[in-house]
Amino acid sequence: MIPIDDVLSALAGLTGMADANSVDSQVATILAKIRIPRLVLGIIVGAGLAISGCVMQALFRNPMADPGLLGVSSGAALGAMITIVLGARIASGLPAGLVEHLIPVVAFAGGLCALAIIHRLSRINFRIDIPTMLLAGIALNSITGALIGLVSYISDDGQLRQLVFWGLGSLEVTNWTRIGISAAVIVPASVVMTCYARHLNANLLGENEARYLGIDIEGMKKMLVVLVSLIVGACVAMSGIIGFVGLLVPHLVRMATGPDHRLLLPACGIFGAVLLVLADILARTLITPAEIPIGIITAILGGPFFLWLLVRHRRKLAL
Amino acid sequence: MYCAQRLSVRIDSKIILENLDAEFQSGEFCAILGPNGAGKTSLLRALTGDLPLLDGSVRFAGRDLHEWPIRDIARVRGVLPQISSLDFPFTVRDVIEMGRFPHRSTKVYNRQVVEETAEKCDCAHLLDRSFLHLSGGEQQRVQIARVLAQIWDDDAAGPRFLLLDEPVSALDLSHQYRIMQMLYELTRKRDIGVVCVLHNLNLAAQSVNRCLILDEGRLIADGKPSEVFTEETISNVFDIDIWIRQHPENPEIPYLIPKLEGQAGQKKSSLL
Repeated sequence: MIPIDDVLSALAGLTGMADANSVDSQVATILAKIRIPRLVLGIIVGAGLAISGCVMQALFRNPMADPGLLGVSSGAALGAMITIVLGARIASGLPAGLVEHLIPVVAFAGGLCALAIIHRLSRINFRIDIPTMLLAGIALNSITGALIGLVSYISDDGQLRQLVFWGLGSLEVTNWTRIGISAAVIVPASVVMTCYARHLNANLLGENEARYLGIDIEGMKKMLVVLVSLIVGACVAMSGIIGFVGLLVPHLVRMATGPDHRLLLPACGIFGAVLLVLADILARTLITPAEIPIGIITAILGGPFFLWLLVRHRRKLAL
Repeated sequence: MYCAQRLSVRIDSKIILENLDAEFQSGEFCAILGPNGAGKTSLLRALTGDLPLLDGSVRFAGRDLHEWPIRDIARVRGVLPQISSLDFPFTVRDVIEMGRFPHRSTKVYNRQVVEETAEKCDCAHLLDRSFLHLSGGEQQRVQIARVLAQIWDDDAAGPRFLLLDEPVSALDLSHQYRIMQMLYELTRKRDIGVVCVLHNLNLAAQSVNRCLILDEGRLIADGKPSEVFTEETISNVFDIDIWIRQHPENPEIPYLIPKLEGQAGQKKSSLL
């Protein structure tokens, strides 16, 4: 633990409000290189996952939908895991700048591959068929699950430990470049999605009804599926699979704000960010100096809480 | 105004509509009648542009349906499908306000439209309730109010139409007649055209000023209720013997009574 006084003075030093020489340089380095990047990543990923989950629930008109449903997150995780296990062989022919960031780049590409497959499978007569997309997503998830199993089976002990962190998520990051790149994907995509709030409200009436209200429904579906995939791909590429945030947060927020997406989407962004940052504090501190994968925290707290909500507020959850 | 020419529709090699011509005017209240599977809903869906046509065309206000920008047509045409489900707990006010989606009107104006249309559909007292807690009939009235709100503006750019598929199927007796009466007044006073699929022939006879009778994808009769409701036509199309009598107060309105064998309250044949 760093005392709060030291944190404040280090922050003052970092922002130029105090003389840098008067500040404990070790504390300043920890803040600038470890803690603040981690906080920023938690905010971006938490907000992105929660907003994506909310959009998916509206798109599928099903409160049980979740950003993982498209198979994008497991596709991205598979990409990352293949790179961890086989990366040394792939990397030899690549430029050094790419090798450094190979894992997130391949993870993101894996997510986009999953999107392309899902999109192709669920297209019927030039329309995206939502029920087909749901089933294709489930099938794709089980295929990637099997491949992830295979990759872990052929990995050695050191790699396996890394794989566990990818499968269960971690906000550990020491690289501002990566945060910058993922923020450049996640933040604009989230903002564009919040512009679709009224479209999503109308979509809850049904696809035909939304079209009769003047919405280009196919364009909207395509746009939102791509945006969700970009966000989820970028989140997994940065921090592995963090479950439950995309499912839980929209439900919690909906109980407070009601189902109107004009309020719901921004509120999900804020609440998702707060929740993930809090979960990360627990992940870092519960068994210091070791760290628990954050996906375990979100699932262990989120799961029972979701069940409690389910039993207690079945009607409000609209099930 | 709303004009279907030589309409043919086929679904999985079965002919659903065959060479059908029909034209609808604004200010007209028209019912589409016929037995199950006659093609009523298909005709309505062909009019909305949802159904791929094998042959023929649908024109709205002089333009082919596919030439209409989707947002523009939504400002003057409301459509209510047979089954509309909504599983999220919006308030009734929110649901009706969704009808204002295609318009760029102010919040204050939208609120006023929501209250007026809710009043018309007798759901003003439900405005702040959750849509999910309403009965089936109340939900249906809210949905009608929503499509009304969509085409409510009298300064609309063109003729306004409502296409409704069995809009009163879940309503009780008095609400069935009140909603139909309200729609009739809309066509008269606000020059809106209403085309609706109905099953209750007596309700149609008392409410609309034009009936289309379909059977096996073909147009069998088209005209005022008093013209098309003949014992022969109805008996043939619906495969049931009927009597047609006159409304006690208005000879223009026919009403139908089915002849059923061994009906309760009917005297047995004198042969027994």
